[in-house]
Amino acid sequence: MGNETRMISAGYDVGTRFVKVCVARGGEMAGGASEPVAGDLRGVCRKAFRRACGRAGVSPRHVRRVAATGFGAVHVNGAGACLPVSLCAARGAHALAPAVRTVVDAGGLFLTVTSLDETGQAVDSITNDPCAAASGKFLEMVAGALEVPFEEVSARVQDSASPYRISSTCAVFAESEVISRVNTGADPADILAGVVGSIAGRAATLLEKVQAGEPMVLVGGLARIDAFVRIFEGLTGRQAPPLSPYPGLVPAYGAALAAAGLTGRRWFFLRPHR
Amino acid sequence: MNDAFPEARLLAASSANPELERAKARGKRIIGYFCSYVPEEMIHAAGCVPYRMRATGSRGTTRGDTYFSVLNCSFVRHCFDKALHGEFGFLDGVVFTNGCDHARRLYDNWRDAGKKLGLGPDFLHMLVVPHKVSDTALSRYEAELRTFQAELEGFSGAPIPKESLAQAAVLYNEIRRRLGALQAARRAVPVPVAGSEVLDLSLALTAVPADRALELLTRAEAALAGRTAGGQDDVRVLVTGGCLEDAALFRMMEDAGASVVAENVCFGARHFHRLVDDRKPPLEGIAERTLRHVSCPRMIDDFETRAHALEKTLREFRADAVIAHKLKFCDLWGGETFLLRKEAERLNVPFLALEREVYGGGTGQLATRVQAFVEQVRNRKGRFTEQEGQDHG
Amino acid sequence: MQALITQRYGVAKHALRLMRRTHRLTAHPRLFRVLRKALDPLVLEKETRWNQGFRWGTLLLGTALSEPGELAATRHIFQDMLDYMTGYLEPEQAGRPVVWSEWNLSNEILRGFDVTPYIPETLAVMAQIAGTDCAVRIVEEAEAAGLPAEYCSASKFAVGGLLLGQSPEPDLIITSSHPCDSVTSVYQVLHYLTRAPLFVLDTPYWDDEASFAYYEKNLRELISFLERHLNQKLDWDRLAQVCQNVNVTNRCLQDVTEMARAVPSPTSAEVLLFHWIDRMACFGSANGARYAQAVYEATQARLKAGKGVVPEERIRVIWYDVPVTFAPLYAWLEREFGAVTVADFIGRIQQVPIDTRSEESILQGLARTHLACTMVRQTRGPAEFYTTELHRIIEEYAGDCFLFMGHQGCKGGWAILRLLRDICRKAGIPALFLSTDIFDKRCLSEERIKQEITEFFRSHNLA
Repeated sequence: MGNETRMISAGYDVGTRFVKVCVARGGEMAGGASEPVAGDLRGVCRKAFRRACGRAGVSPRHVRRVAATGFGAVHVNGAGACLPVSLCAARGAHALAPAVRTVVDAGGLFLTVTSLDETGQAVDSITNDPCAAASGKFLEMVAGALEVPFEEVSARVQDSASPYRISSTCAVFAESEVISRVNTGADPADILAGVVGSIAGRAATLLEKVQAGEPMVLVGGLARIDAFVRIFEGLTGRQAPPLSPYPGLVPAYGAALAAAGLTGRRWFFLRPHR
Repeated sequence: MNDAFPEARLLAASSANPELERAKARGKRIIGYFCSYVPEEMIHAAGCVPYRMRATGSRGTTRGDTYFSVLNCSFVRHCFDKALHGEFGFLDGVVFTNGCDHARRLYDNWRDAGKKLGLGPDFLHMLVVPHKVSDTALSRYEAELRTFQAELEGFSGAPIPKESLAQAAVLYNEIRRRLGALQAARRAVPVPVAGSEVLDLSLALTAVPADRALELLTRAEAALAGRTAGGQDDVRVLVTGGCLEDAALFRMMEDAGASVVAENVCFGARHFHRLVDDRKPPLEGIAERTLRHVSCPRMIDDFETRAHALEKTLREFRADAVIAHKLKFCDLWGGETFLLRKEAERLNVPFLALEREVYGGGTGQLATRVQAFVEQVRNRKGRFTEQEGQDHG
Repeated sequence: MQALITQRYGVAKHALRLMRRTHRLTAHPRLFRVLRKALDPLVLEKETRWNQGFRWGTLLLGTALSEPGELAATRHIFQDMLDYMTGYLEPEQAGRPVVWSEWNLSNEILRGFDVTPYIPETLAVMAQIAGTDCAVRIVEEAEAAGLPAEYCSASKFAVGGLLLGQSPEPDLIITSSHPCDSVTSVYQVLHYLTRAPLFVLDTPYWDDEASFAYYEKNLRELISFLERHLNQKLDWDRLAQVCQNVNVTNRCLQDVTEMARAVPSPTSAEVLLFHWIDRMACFGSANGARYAQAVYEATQARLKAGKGVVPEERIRVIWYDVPVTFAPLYAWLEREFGAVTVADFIGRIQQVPIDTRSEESILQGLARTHLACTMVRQTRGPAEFYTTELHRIIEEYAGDCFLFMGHQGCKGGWAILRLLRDICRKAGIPALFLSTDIFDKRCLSEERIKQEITEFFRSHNLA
């Protein structure tokens, strides 16, 4: 197990809704897991790590290097470095699809658009402004309020005849707006379509700010929502397929690659983040 | 049936309208402007049709937000979004002002989008308005209007004689005077016309050529005869605040049992207040009228005047309460609301402050607050009436 | 902290005590330097209850200001601040009318009268000396009183200080219409709450002769207003001397501003920012001029020797829009990354010399000087006032990156982020855009700001 090309590394993506861990062996994605954030965050990280190792068929002891990314990266014990999400998303996407030039990471709380060059280096990135009703968490909240299981959101959005346009940029006020609409008898499908449309609209705005190149891919939790992908593509007039096979794991995979140093840049054997 | 108010409502609810199309077909050019500190008569005197810019019909801020941010006013973001979507394509020019930090950046971002994205029109002018109403500021404003006149002449290709300016001032004075009279009719109990209808009319008047505006006013005046729009027991409110271009807010208050008897908002009374003094040379008269109409909180040295005007209006219109509204992230109306609350306490008048986005955004919550407020005021009125009865009984 | 807030002038008195001690230390710059470096490990990482009382001042005197030449120079600023604060903390002794002046308004004219100037927003700086929780408490007081949350935090300090008895009552208030809506609004609130007569200087939008003439007229009216209400005459000789101090200060600090173009940079923005505090409260003072002269000489000596202000300069930072005043980051940037702030938005000086030969020429010069002051010159007009300066900085300062703090109160700045982003993209300079506040840590904490900057440096191969 000493051969660097067979090095086993792990990347954590500690988001606001899920902790994703990806184990990479020799630069290939070997296994991954996702655990919902609840209670003891470090405990959730450990659980996700063990599950990912199990799926990769490796023992946790054999994981040589670890890096973390995401909002809660600093809480990962033993991480050799904490890295920006944009960098990890870029690395992971580039490894899976070298032709990619733009990665849109649509997660629990943040939307990040990253443009990359031909080497997979992140050139520019932008994240949504604070207080934006542009998050998977908000969609989850609204689906819950409407008693629509999250996995049925896409299908329900498909049924919408007249999506309700949400005007608030703040999730608190947007929630109030949604509740008002529900109380006046609006169709849940229209409300869900409005929320998904609102998030897709914010992502489209970010895209234009970064002047993103082609081809483009979607990663993160919202990439699994067909309705989001469809509406986003409609708004931007561009193809934005979810990066398969596991769009939610791409940043964690990128972190694992960075940890392994397989990028070829020595300084990625990083100093611990304080 | 006199359809003046329904027609006004339609005009208020649309961005462009057939009147503008007809004007364009006659060879007229349309110049959009932001803010009541831009003298419409000057645009008219240049042979163009002044059009007050609104966010009406905006479908969102997706493109507007590529320039502005979530900390910027929704009015400005929606307007710019419309521009980037080509919905102001009927304009031949736009006049901006330094009304506030959000609005003045429209001038900058519009020009930038013009260079980078081909956004038109080509004629874009920034009219700088002082932040004071002193004599020195007035002289400065006159100089600024002379520059504006020169720009308009360059754009139209013809000089603007003094006579044209004077005639335009007379024409717009007529609109202001007659709308003022219509607004004054709301002193009656009950009111003959709803506040929402008057606001729709005010919006419509800024969206059509002056001759059509006068014609609409004539029909509106005729429609008032024998009309009532409220009840004797309505809670009479005065609404004050910044940009309010959607009469739906007033309709919501009316549904809650309030009657908006007077308002002091950007697109309403404040836009039409005061006449040009025709004894003065026209440009000086226009400058004085425009700078010294009821001010908004961008005028740093004028709160006392605004407060007196508010108190006078409360008395004359027998208003029971004040509702102040502001758009989110508006520093100017945020501070003004703080001061108005103090004034309302001093005058012992019930006061409600609302914060909103230009469209949508928590209307349910607003309605709940307004309903609760109206009930409180109604109960208070009842107590005072009972107390008066006891005192005199 | 509670005791400071509830006691009249508690915050200022606490700041005064600390400043007196620091002032005494500056008489021994080499000892001061040793002490300053010894305190580094205790303050660099984060604020704690234990280090709260001395952390801010220690951080402020970062690397560039902890060289012996600069440390000795700070003595003059501390003296100015002592004079400023004792001036209003002990007004009974002075017996002079108190004139409030808005923080971005260059108020040299007040030095031509026998008055006690007070700049309400300086409380925002003094409160940090007592710890960031103290600062937040003052802001919360203003918000609880009904002041809009979207106001700039500086405005909230102005009102909060008044409500908490931390500010002297004004006899007069002077303000301007620059730099923003928050100032435009809050001075109407202050006028209402205090009932003190208010004078407003109306700031022109453009940079032409008519604009300067207009502002000059405003200055004349200001003088009439002051003379009428104070029942004093402006001492033009004293004002002429003040203007000469301004000339010396601006000339020296502009040279310091320009010297930062050298690689490695012999100075850092914190030298200029330290003077900004003095400029707010005491602009035109002889002490300010002495400070400027001293830092100019120290910087020039390093430039001639080809020395940088840090041992190893690795990152050259262009810093907009505001400093993170609640957590001065310069020492951390310099130690952690060898990052030197070579150009910034607030500190840099653009000189406009004042001809002091006549009253007329003084006023003409003052009008131009005011309009060229920090924040005023960039924000009062069209976006070009902002972007042209940034273009020049990018071309001339060899910056490696652009950090934009995104002060919550600056709506005009937020409205042109696209323009700034495009400039950086075209110049090929990596840019980080944050959402913070100049004085209020609640918006984005020091820890998060450091995390963002660290990730940014790493993701762009700068560290």
